[in-house]
Order: sequence, then C-alpha cells, then structure tokens
Amino acid sequence: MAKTLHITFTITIILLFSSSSIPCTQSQTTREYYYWNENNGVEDLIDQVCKRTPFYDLCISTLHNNPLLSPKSDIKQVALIMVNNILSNATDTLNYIEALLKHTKDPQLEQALALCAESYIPVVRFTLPQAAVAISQGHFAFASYCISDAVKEVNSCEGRLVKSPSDKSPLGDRNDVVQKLVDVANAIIKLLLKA
Amino acid sequence: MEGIKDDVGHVPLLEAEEEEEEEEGRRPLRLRGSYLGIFGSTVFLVSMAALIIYQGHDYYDEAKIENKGNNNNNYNKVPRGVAEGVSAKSNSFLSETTPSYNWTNAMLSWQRTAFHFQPERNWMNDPNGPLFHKGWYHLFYQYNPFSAVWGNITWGHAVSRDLIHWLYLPEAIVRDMWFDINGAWSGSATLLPGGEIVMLYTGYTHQQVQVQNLAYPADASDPLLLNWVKYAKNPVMVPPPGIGPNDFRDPTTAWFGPDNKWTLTLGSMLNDSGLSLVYKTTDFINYELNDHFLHIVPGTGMWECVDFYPVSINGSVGLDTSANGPGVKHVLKASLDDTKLDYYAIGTYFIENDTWIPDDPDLDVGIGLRLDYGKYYASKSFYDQNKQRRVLWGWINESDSEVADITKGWASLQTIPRTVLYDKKTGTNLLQWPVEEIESLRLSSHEFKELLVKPGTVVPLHIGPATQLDIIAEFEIELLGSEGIVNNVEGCGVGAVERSAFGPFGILAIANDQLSELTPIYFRLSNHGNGTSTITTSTSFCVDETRSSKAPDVSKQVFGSKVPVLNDEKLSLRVLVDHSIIESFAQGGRTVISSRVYPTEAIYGAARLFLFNNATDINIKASLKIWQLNSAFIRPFPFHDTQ
Repeated sequence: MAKTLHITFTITIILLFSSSSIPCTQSQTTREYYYWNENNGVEDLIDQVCKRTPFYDLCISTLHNNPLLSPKSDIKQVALIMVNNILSNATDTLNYIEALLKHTKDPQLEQALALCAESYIPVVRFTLPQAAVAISQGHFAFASYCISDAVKEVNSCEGRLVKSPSDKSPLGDRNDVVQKLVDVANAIIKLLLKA
Repeated sequence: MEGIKDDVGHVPLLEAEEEEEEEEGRRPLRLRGSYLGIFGSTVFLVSMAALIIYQGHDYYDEAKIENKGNNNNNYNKVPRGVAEGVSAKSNSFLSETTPSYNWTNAMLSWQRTAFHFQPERNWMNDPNGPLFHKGWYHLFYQYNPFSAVWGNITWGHAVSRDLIHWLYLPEAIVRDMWFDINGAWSGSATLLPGGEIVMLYTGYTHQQVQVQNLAYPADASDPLLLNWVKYAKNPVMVPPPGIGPNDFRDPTTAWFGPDNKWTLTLGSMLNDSGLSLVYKTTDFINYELNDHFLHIVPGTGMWECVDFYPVSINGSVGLDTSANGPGVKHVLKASLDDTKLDYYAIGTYFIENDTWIPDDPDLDVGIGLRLDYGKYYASKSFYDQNKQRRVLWGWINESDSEVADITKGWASLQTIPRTVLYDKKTGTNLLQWPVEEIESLRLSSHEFKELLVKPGTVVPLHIGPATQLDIIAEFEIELLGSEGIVNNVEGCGVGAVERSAFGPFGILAIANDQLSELTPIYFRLSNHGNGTSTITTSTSFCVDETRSSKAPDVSKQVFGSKVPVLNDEKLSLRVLVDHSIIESFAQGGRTVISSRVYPTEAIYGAARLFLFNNATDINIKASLKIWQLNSAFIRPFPFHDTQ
C-alpha cells in the first residue's frame, strides 16, 4: 500500500514539473538559441530568421542579395531592413491610393479609398519610422507595438476595400504584400524580444 | 470593464474560490509518512493551480473599507483643496446625518467605465497639456498617486493613437522642487513651429504661493515623451503686485501674434471679479504682464482653468490657437471656483491691445452659457493638427461619497473628447460632439423607426445589455386635441415626474424592469403666447438623477438647460452610456449634460433602456439607432509585453 502511494506521489511530482514548463507565452520554439555559422554568412542568417516568420518565401526574396547585409549582420539589422522595406512599400501604396482617389468616379470606392488613405498616412508618417528608430535604439517592445499598430491599420484598409471573398481589391495585391511584410517584420521583432 | 453578469448580487466568484483554498490548509495534519506525502503533493498541486489562475487578479477584490486616520466621519467641514487655494475637490452635499449605503463589491465594480479615460486607481482631476505629437495623442492629468481623494498632486500621463484607446505611462511631472513641492497643478502645452514642445504649469511652492513653471521634454525625439525636464530657474511667473498668492493659476496655450511675441493668459480675481491676466514672451522664460486684463466680469469670483481660442464662423474646421482674421471669433472660457461650473462666451479678440469682449454682454463669461450643464469642470481644449479640429477635454468628478471612493479605490473620469465648432446656425452656441473615433467601439446595432409613445407610457427597447451604449434618437411630436394650448412651464421642473402638456419625453437609461431605479434624459417643450397671435416655443433638455439610485449617499440632481431648436429641425439627441457616466447631447451638441449615476439594482444584466412619454397632450414618435459599445481596453503601455 505504502509503495503504491510512494509511486503515485513520485508520478504526481513528475507530472507537476513537466506541466510547469507549459509556457505562458507563445511558441516554445522561440526559446531556442540562434546561431549560424559565420562562414556560411548572410544566407544562413537569412534562412534562420525567415524560417521563423509566417511568409518564408517573401522574407527570403526581400532580404536576398540585400547590399546592407554582411556576414557581421545580426537580427537587429535584418529587422531594420525589413521595416524600411515595408516603409517604402507602404509609401508606394499610399501614393497609389491617392492617385486612384483623384481619378475614381465611383463615390463608394472614393469613400473606401479615402478611409484607406487615413489608415496609411499615420503608418507612413509616424508608425514605421518610429519602429525603425526604436529598433536601432534597442527599444524592441515599442517597435513591436508600432508594428502591431501598422498591422491593424493595413488590415483595416483591406477590410474597407474587400468586403467579400469575390471582391477584387482596387489596389491589386499591394495591400496584401504590405500586410504580409508587416507580419514578417512582426515575427522578426518578436525574435528580438525573446533573445 | 465588462460586468460580471450576475444580477443576484453575488459576491464575485473569485472570492468563493479563495475560501476553498483556505479550507484545504485547515485540514488536520496526520503524521503518517505516506499520507503526509499525498497531502503535501495535493497542497502543492492546488497551490500551483491557484498561482496560474490568479495571474490576473483584479485589485477590486481586495477592496476594504479604509478609514484613514480619524475619518470615521468623512464629512469634512472644509472641502479638500480649499485650504490650499483651489476649488473644492470633495462633495459637500452629504450632511453628518446622511446614512451611508451598504455598497457591495458588485455594485462598486460595476461603476468603473469601459471606454472613458480613468487611471487604474486613485484620484484624478483636471486634464492637463493635451497635445498631438508624432502620431500620438497625449493626455496629462492631475493625479494623486497615493489615494482616491485629492492631494499630493502630480501629472499623470497617457498616450493614444486615436483619443479612445489609451495606454498608461509613468508620471510626467512630480512634486520634487521647491516651486512645485506642494502640487504640480494644471497647465497647458504650446507647440512651437520648429516642433518643440513647451509646457507651462502651476506649481504650489513650499511657501504656499502659486507660481508658473516651465517644463519641456527631455528627449524631443521620443515619440512617447516619457521624461520631462523642469527649467532650472523656475518659476517663470510669480503673482504680480495686487494679485493674491492663491489667485494665480492654470496658464493657457500661448498664441503667436503680429507683434512677433507669444501671448498667453491665466485666471485670477480682484474683489470677487473674475479676470484673465495677459502675459507676453519671446522665449517662454521671460514674461511681461500686460497692464490691462483680457477680460473681467464682476461677481464671478476666481477664474480657474481659463481657456481662450479662435473658432471659424464658417463652422467647419478647428483652428490653430494662433489663428486670427476675418471669419474668426474667439471663445473665452472659465471654470468658476465659487460654483464649480464651466462657462464660456463667444466674442471678439482685439489683438492690438489684447482685450476681448463678448458678442452678447448678457451672455458674458460666468453668467451666460455653460459648456456642460451636468457634473463637469476644469475643461481644456487643444488644437489637433493631425485632423484639424479643436478637441475639448472635461473632468467629471464623482457624485458619490468620499467613503465609497476610498472603498472602491478610485475617483473621477474624463469625458470622451469632444470636437468643438461654432454653431453657425444659431450664432450663439458652440457645438460639442464626441470625436468620431468613438465609432470604432461600435459593435452590433438595433434600429427603431417611428415608435409611437402615447402620453403616460413607457416603451421598453429590447437591445440586450444596456450599460455600454451609443444612442442616436430623433423625436417627432403629434399634438393631441385642440391646438392653441399655451403651456408656459419652462425649464426642467422637479424632474421627469412633473407632467406638462408638451413634456417630459425621452429615454430612460440605466433603468431596471421594475423602474425602481432609472435615469430619464428628456425634452420639455413650452410655448408662450404674448397676447398676440404669435406663440414662441422653447425647449429644455434635461437629465434627472433623482431616481437614478436607491442609495441615499449619492448626489441626485436634475440638470438641464434651454436648447435652441430651429424651425426646420427635429428634436434630436445622442447619449453615450458607460456604466456610471452618461453623456447626453441635444441638437447636435448645442446643449450637453454629463451625469454620474450609482444604481444599486439597475446594474449588469438588470440594466435596461426605455422610451417614455410623460407629457399629457402629445404623442411622441421616436426613431432610434442604438449601438453596443466595446471596451477601450485602457491599460498600461506594453513595455515588457512579449505577446
């Protein structure tokens, strides 16, 4: 009887300790230590980072052959490049929205585009530039907040333009690309937060 | 804050679980080894589970009655603040004989709002230095870091992208120098053309003199403006000769004039006449006092929180504080210390000698129109260059007892920020309206078209939960019986129970099914013949708190005022319901009433919304659109959040 109780007790303790390692935050994979072989250099770094983002191919194509990356680069520099890339994409998208606004004759579309512009303007003027500065200063939590903000605004724009799955966005896939890039940047900054 | 939807008034679930845990611990120990082992691991298991569940413990469940010192009798003879030379910051309506109600945790927790700005705990009063900078709206506010009553005043700080979703930041200005050791009081921001920010605020010195101090951001490139530096040689303004040391506070935003100087104003008084002093500066360090006042109105007493700004008579956009020229009028506003009411007047600014006169001397500052006819004080506006509008903040104090505030651990709210425009249709009023960003909180909606409400009836509106609402309503009147009734009872009467020919009618908010607690928001029309065949109608807009709660220890008044209604206009109102605060707007914001309600029964799932018509001689046809409003999830800035 005592033996059974001892075994039960031991099993309970073991179960307890294994359950206590259930993380309160997101994925466990982010606790891995990042390392890459400096001899493989830039490509290995890009691969390691992009693997941990939701859009691997997009991430790779953005960073591949980027002149700003060197074998000495770290995740921070990758994040910076990504954010600046989004900024130029978002600026282009905003310009395109404003051009469309000037030429459209459909009042409903005009309203949707105007609201979209209202979403993009603070992202281009403040949110993304501030995220970039924050990353370079090591304020990763603030950068993460900014990027999440940008995610919301871009999603809000898309929501205004595409109400049903059959709708085609007047922005083509510009908005979609920005959305994905922002998700990628978000993931990269979370790597910085967990490191 | 989403309410616990249990209208039986149960003590929240968490407390019950706490008791369970304690019972486990009290089981008698048996000293046999193996049983001890099982017992030990069980306790360990339970405490591990408890630890995980209670991560997000809400501090309300720790609310206890704290009687600080000798405060069994909390009815201070002199209201808080008066001794230090500011307006009364506690409610003196309660007499020594008012019984205190047995507030439960459920009732008190329900009072906390879902989308109005309030700090996590403790006392707040005047809004300070609001501004927009690099993508962020900033709100600073008078804050007591230590308790839920006025005192130890520092500047709290919060930021938002959209004036609705706020994130708390650390305190911006604390009382750590001789020139503000007794209080870092109210002040305003001036945004310079080069992008610099200058903050002027009132400090209460170690010798109990009110002075004006200069502060500026420590790091101009920090979008959150976390840290502030005080000018080393503060104060920059001290009470001038003839002005009392306790009659000198609340500097405004400065405006730039054709004399290439910055001008600002602050309130004071002489012999019971409220007035506004004028200072000029080029560097915000050295100031010259003008020899004449911006304006003075006899009998109005000390002017606190003076606000002075231009409005476009075209009425379509807000104007920068420095704007001037044809097509511009200026608004002068003061918070009257003696009556704790905010008054404004529209008039003309003579920039050549920095004086201002009202368009209508009968509606001068302190004797004419009020910004808000309810519980509202210390308002302050700022020019939002992001969206080119003038935005107005106002402080809403509690109307319950100090004991209740200490028990629940907090006191006061800010209004939802309002845009301010000149009402070009009447030419006499300002129009205030909740900022459009509040619409981002809208969830599901219900629409009602032309509901008929006969005299003496109440119509329930089935909209689901009724504690977080955005209500837009229009009313049409159908005369019954013969025309020519002259009914010249004006004003709000003693409340919604007082029937007359053409009113009251409107909505009942935060009401329960039995209508034992309810808050009517209503119109009352009256017409008066003047002997000839012409009959003029006047409309009053009112909020009646007298039956808002069964508790005796809360203030329950009838608030209201006349509201201009033009011939081609329907009667319209907008109401924001957010737990213990109701903001009501009539005729597009010509008349606004903020009120506080503290129901004991009409809370959580028991709160309802009704239409009512207590008039005797008219039918009402009401059309409404009602949205459920989400919480704004106001919380600390996620500096360490890894989510």
